[in-house]
Parts: sequence; structure tokens; C-alpha cells
Amino acid sequence: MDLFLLFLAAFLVNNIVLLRFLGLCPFFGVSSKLETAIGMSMAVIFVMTLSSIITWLLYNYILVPLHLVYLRTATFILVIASLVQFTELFLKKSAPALYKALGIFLPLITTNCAILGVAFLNIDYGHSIIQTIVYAIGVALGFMLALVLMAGIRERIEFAPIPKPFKGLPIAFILASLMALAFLGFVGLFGLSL
Amino acid sequence: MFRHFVNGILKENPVLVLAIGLCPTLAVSTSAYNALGMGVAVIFVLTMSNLIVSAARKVIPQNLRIPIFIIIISTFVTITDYVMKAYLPELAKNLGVFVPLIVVNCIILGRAEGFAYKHSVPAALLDGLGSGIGFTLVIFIIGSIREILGAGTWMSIPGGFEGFKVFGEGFLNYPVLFMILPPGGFLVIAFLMALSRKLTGEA
Amino acid sequence: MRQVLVLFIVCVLSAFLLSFVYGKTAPLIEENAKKKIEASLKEVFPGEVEFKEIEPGKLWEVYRNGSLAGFVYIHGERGYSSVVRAMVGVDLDGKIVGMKVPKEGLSETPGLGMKVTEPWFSRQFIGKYAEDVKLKKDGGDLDAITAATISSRACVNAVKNGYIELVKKRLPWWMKYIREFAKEYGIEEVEPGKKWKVKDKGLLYLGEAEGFGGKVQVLVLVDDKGKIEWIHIQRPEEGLPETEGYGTEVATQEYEQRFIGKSAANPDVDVLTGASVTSRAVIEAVKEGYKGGE
Repeated sequence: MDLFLLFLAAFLVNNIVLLRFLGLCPFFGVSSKLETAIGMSMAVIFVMTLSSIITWLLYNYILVPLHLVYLRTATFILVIASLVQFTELFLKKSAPALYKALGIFLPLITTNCAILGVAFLNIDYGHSIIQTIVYAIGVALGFMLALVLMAGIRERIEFAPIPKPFKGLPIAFILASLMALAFLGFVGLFGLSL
Repeated sequence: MFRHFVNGILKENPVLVLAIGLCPTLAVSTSAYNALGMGVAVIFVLTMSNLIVSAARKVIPQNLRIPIFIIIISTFVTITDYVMKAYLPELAKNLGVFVPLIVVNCIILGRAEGFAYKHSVPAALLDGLGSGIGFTLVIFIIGSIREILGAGTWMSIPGGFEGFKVFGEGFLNYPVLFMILPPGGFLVIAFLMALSRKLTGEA
Repeated sequence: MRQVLVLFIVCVLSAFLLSFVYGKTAPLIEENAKKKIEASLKEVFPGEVEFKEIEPGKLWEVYRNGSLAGFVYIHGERGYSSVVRAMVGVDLDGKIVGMKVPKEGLSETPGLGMKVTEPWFSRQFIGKYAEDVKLKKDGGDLDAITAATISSRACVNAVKNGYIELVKKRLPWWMKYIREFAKEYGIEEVEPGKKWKVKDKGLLYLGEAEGFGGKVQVLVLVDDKGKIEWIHIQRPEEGLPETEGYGTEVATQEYEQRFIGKSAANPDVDVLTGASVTSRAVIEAVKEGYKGGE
């Protein structure tokens, strides 16, 4: 039951993009088309889960015993960067169309603060390895939910008469504001809180 | 030369125009003091990393440059993190996980890759300062707006100053809470972006 | 090859710089953390006191001039939308000397439930017995926060349950009698944990002597002539370490009656057959505590 609540919190109540402000750059950069949004989400799910596991192992079995905790930031980001490189190569070979569609955004996952952020949060919350996996998957799915919802709306809003200064990004931010407001409604679900 | 400095503040303002460095912008802009603290941290890391990358640009190999940039940036981020925890613990607590997250702040990697690697040290230095100040300016404005409307104070400093009570004491009982919460943050940025577009003649 | 060398040098330089900064700042960071906790503890238990951590993050013993003066505990109960944690300082009577609800991790309704952190709310608790705290609407005398009953009640329960779970069992068995004397007559501490002056009644003291299975304790009230007015022998459920069915026969009201009116310096009471060691211990304890009389 605890694991389910953990998942629910990561997925909805503490939605990483709308309520915790992590992963915003790709959120606004990739959400103009539904197709790329889905592709990006898949990549994020993969990288986030794997990187959370690896960084957790790295922290608990190497950094802590060797009193090298202060190297946490540097080593984590290097792990993530390498993982993204690997994903890039893998996609290039097995799904070249998706690789092309994602374009610049794939290497940009490295700077997706959500990935590094979740790695840090797992440590700060003192998660066990199982909790880490559940949390990472929950967060990644929450990211996908927000991204897909946003893309769906943005695709339609393309054709609406938006005032000139608001076209493009500003209106997307207003959308995000409304979505965040809606998601705030999940607070209190099963007693979970912000 | 001076152009590089001004660019970062107006025409190529990282947050309002380029839409990068968004995560910390929204997360820590719940108070003017927090925003200022984050801004100064970013200026430090950005300037130092631009400096080192530019100074060593002749020896940094092309195809290993990204990992090396990352190591340099994360070194300064870690320094900032620990120094803040030691000397400004309240600020460190408020900024939380976003201090170490400065390492993935697209602004810093972006400027290192896009500018510092290809320009002289003085130019890189000015570019770093300019972008950093541009970022700080925006985040400070957002933080001020959200704090004044959402909490009724301005520049309240934890463990010290209570802040200017801009709308008077009465307002403190029923401020516009919405502003402090996530949706408020998104809304403020939306309007600032639109405003900056109008001002720089883009719209 | 040269490239890898550059990478390696950068890593090494970085590691050196970082360990240097870490060395300088780590002690400061630890100090900050300790100071913060001390400051919080002092807020709920003011005065010239020292704190000793018993259960990390949950329970501290408070010492004044080397002797135990009270406890500080932190306990949480489910509120409206988060866990309401109360940090409470109690003296050895179980009376609250300070209470606060830390803002960290508290996520009740802003403007309503969050008001439990306000000073006027926590101030109400001071002087009340932690075990008896209750809201006015539940029959007690504490004001709830208007339209935030759930959060208020959670706070009250946190104070009460935290006391029961963490502190009560650490209080000496005789504490509740002291409290009753205090409530009925008024009491003044002469020697902490040993002697008390009861208004208009005399001297109340704790006596102790070696019994069969350990130390046996008695609580005795003598008038100013040294005559025993009231006595309570430690019961098994209060920690009496004597043999069930034998020594425990001594810890009864019947046996206690025999002491009333006797001289505390030398109580002329019979030893119980089949429980001689324990009986003697009780008599010794009465004498031991009285020695150094009033």
C-alpha cells in the first residue's frame, strides 16, 4: 500500500512538472506536437528509471562508504550524461525515425533537471532501492501525463486567435498555470499532501 | 565588447526570450530574497565556468568538451552549495535541491558551449556576467511580484528582516495565496514574457 | 591519448578543489545543524538546561544542574492534509512548559489549519498536563482554530499521545502521587526526586532499600513530629522487583496501614512471614528516606 501511495504522490499529487517545477525546459520545448511529446516521454521514462537506479547504487555503495559524498553532484550528472549518450546510440540504430524526430531534444534530456532532480530526491528522501524504482517510474509517468495533456491542448490552440505578444510560449505558460491549478485538486487524495 | 553584456539582459534574456533556466526560476521565485540568493549563485557559477572554459579553450579537446564542461560546472556548483550551507543555512534550506540543480541549468551549459568555448576570456567574462544578471533581474522581479501579492511582504529574510509590508499589516491575513503556489508562478512568467515581447518590439 | 590526459587532469583538479572546500565547510555545516536543534529545544524548554538525545528526533532528556528536570518530545498525528507534529517540553510532573508546531513539513490548509503554528494557539498549552489536554469542544479547555477543528485536534492528540507513548513510561512511578499532593495541597521541592514539602501537612520523601530482587521504594508522608501520616509501598506494576505471591504480599494497603502513626525513624511494624526479606526492606526504606529528616 505504501508503494502505491508513493507512486500516486509522484504521479499526481506532487506532479514533477506542474507542481514541483522540474523538467520545464523540455516540457515547453517539446509539447507543441503530440507525436514528439510521446516520444520524448518514452525516452524520459527509460533514462529516469535507469539513472535513478544507477545513481542510487553509486551513492549508497561507493560514495558513502568512501566518504566522497561531496562528489555527488559531479558523479550523478556524469552518469546521466553517459546514459543519454547510450540511449542516443541505441535509438539511432533501432528507431531512426524517432531519433530524427526528437532531434536536439534527446541530448537535452541530460539537462532535464527532472532526471537529476529525481536522483537527488531519492537520496534526500532516504528511499530504498524498491522505493527508488517506484518513485522514478511514477515521476516519469507524471511527466508524460503533463506533457501529453499539454501537447494535446497546444495542438488545438494553434488555430485560436491569440493576441500577438502571447503567441507561442506565453500562452503555453498560461495553459500550464491552469493545469497546475487543476492538479492542485489532487492534494488530499488518500491523505497525500504537497 | 560591451554589447555582450547588454545582450544577456535584454535581447537575449535567457528566461524571457530564450526560455531556458526555467526550473529554478519558477521554483525559487516565491520570495524576493530567495530569488536574489539563487541569482547570485548562478552569476557566480556562470561567470567562473565561462572564465575557465574560455581560458582553457585551446586545450580542451573538441569531442570531450561536453563532459569537461560538466565537470567544471559541477565543481563550482558544489562549491556554491557547500559554502551556502555553511554561511547561509536558511537560504540553502529554502532553495533546497535547486542549488545542486544549477548544474543542469541550461543557461550555464548553453553559454559555455555557445560562447565561452569560442571567445576570449574578457568577452566570455562579460557574457557570463550579462546573462547571469539578466537571469537574476528576471527572477528577482518575479519573486518580488509573487511575494508581495502572495504573502504581503517584500524582501523578507528568514531569521532576520520581516520584510516591507507593502500593502499594510491587514493584507497579511488574506494575501493572494494563489501567487505563491505553482499556478501563480506560471501566470506571472506568461505575462512578463508577453510584456518583454511588446517592449523589445517583437510583437 | 592527449585528450584522455586532459580529461583526467580536469577530474583530478576538480576533486582536489572540492575536497578542499568540503574540508573547510563541513564542520560549519554540522555546527549549524546542531545549533538549530538546540535553538528549537530551548524554545520549548527555556532556562539554564542541557539536552541529552534519547531517541533521535523524537525524545530528549532535559537536565538542570546535573539532575533530570524534564523531557522534550516530538510526535505527530494525522491532520487534515498532512501530519501535524508537535514539539513539547514537559517537566517531571508531566506539565507542559513549552510547545510549538514547526512549520517544516506542515501542509495543512493555508490560512486555516496552518494557524496551528501561531503563538496564541501553542501558548494555551503551557501549564496544562500533557496527558489531559483537550479542546473545549471535546470537554477540555483549549480553544480550537475556527473552521480548522481537524488540524487543531490533531495537534492536541499529538501532544497527548506523544506524552503517553514517549514520556509517561519514563516517569518515575511515584510521580503521579506527587501530582495528586500538588493538586490537593500544594507542594514544594526540597530535594529533587527525594524530598518534598507538602503544605500544612509535613514532609514527603522517597525511601529506598535493597530487597529480594532489587531496590524497593516507598513514598512516605510524615508530620513535623516524624510520625507517619501516609505511606505508599511500590506496587509490582510500578516496578517492585519482589517475588510474586511472596514478597508482593507486602505491597498491599493492609500492610501499609500498619505503618500509620508509627515513628518514621524507627517504625515498629511486624515482618510478614514468608516475605521477611521484602518486609525488612520496606522498613529499612522508610528509615533510610527519613534519615536526614526535616
